[in-house]
Amino acid sequence: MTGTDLLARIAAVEERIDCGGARHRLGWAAGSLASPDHPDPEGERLLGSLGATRPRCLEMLDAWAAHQDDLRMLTLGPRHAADQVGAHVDAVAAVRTGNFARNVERQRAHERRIPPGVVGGTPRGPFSLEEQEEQLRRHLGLLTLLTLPPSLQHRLMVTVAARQLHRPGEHDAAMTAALVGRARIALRSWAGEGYEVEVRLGKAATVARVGHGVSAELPAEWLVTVWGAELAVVDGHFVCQVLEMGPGTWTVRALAPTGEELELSLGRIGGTEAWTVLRSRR
Amino acid sequence: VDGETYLRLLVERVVDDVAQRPPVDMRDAGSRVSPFMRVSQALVAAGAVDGDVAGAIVSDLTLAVGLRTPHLPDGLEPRTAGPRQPAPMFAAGQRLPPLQRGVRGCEADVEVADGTLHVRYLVVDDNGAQLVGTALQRTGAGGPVGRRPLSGARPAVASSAPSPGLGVTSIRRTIAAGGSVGARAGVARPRPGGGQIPQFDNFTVTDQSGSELDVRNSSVSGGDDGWDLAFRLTPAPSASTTALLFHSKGHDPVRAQLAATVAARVGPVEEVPARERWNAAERYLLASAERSFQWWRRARAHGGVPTPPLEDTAVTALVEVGALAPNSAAITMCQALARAGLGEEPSSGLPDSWASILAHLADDDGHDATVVVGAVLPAIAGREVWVDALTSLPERWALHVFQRPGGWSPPGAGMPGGDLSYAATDDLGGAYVGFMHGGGGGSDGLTMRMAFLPRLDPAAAEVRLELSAAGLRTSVVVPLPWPWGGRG
Repeated sequence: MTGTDLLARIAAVEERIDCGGARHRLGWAAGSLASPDHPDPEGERLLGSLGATRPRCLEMLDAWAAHQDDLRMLTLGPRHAADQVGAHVDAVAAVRTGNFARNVERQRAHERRIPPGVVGGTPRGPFSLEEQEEQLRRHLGLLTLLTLPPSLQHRLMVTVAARQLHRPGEHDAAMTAALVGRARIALRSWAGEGYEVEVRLGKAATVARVGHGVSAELPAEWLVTVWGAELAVVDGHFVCQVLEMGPGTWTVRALAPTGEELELSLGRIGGTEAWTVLRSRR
Repeated sequence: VDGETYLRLLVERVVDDVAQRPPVDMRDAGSRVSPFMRVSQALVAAGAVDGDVAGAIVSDLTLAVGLRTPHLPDGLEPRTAGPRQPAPMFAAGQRLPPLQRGVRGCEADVEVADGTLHVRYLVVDDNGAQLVGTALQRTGAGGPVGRRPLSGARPAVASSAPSPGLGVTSIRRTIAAGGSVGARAGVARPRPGGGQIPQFDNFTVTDQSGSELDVRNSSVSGGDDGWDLAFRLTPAPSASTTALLFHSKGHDPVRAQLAATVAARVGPVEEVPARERWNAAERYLLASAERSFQWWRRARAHGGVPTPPLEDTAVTALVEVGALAPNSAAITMCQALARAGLGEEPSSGLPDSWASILAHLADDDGHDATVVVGAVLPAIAGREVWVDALTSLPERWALHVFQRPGGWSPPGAGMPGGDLSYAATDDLGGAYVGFMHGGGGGSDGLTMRMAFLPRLDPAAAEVRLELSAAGLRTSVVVPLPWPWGGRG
């Protein structure tokens, strides 16, 4: 199954964002980002090139087009639902317009009574705010995407990971870290506090409790099919592998809280996004 | 595991920690990232990861932490400084255009609104001229700022008139009989960290014929003994210039005679014998431990509690990526240095030279003087180094050096000043440990202050500086022509 096929099985998301004084829809489905309230994006881009303000929805689409293969999205973005990452819309706008350093310096000078030209005791130079702003500008596209609601941030990260799955040898270190970091958090949540968790990238999905530790080997696909589908831990079970992706029900191989290996049928009930265990068997 | 993967996995641990316990402020955020920097520096220094790759990872990490740190300006803290260009200091072998560079003594105490600017020497190179000095700030209301009349057991030297050719400026104090330290009054070296950098720029300069030179503050750098200032002079004084006059409002002009440098003796480049060689990881660890040693010592001196040896994380990383043998003698030496820095019995593991260093650490009878050196060393491992001056203080001393190629590395991507090691000994058998202590610059070169401990033996007649990198070393012997003849 290709990365695109996998993405098609993950639930679509639609959110509303501020755009030109209105609340516009921005949706993700099967790896693509779309703004249905801007039916003629090319026409609006043309207007933008003539001086009109570019709608924020289009900024998102353009930023996504530039960064859909950028693994930094996984480095910067949230690891789990409680990991709130927020690039402030105003700050990102200030970076875009070249006013970030000036704004921050003015704010700090006001707060700390530091004379202009000096920031926190650091003189102008390679580590000045101007230099930092330059650095932020290089991250501008990613920062723009990180102003989106968490559900969209998550789908964009999954898409980046899925696109990377079939390019082994490229950015292996970043993919390994993205997998290990997220799997370790999920395993810690499953095993409970006090367990030392070690995760490695491997071909098969194996998890073992050893004394007060958990040792796991997981394939890169886990990042898309399991973490990406938001079912890393379901009702206390750690999901190692997705066996079948049915229309409403997925079958997975998982570990019960006791460590027992089970085959589970998972589904979303009551119209919520949360998965639950429908059926289990040894 | 390879170096890049090791670093990226460490990023995950730091971000996980920050997500669980968000930093409360910038300082807290920085403290979460700094151990990572140590590991990143170590891996770059050992050649386990490319400097640019490490810089990009550090940049991502600092931004990831910033995005999880509340209560920062605009909700987003930009602590992601990096270079505009790849760090050229790691581009060994890079061809550089020849640079003519000379130093002359130029001592003057210039009274300005903030206090006194103590000008030490003048550097003239192909890019122009720079006056280098130290800010001495007024410490109390009333009373003139400046040096006290010199008195004491040893003969004083009138600092306003250094002998041309002597190469020594600013004998600012004498040693009283019995070796006690005479007190300075009226002035103090303003310390960095107070938020405000002294300007010290409201004065003008003319040469001996009355031609005015434009003066612009070109750099400020700080160590914990004060701010070092540099001023660009335009046009650059010519070889026929013999003196500069400093004019400031409400004060008589101060004349500074331009003085020649001491006759330093530069040695050849030679290979470091195999038995004395460390690999890149070991060199990094030792340099890092020596730097930590000095910070621990200072922390203890100020009643602080030294942090645990930071090298531990670097050692773990270097061993994990296969850059360091688990039984390396460098690890033992680092542990011994940590014990010494923490005030414990260093026991075994330190080389003999450390016996001299540890024996004199508490001494504070060094001269307060500047020696204008002006030596250019032969290129070593692609690095060119000029030793401009040596500043001796009662409790330590420093070398002011210029190093090419310059450029900046992203934080955590390289050692400040590159991988050159500095060590020093004197003609009486004393040894000194040095580390970078302030500096700045750009792609044209780095101006750095290398601080050394313990204090420069006041009886020493010369000091030998050794620079080493990549299995090569060179040296320069700097005479110390103290006006009273050195020894005694």
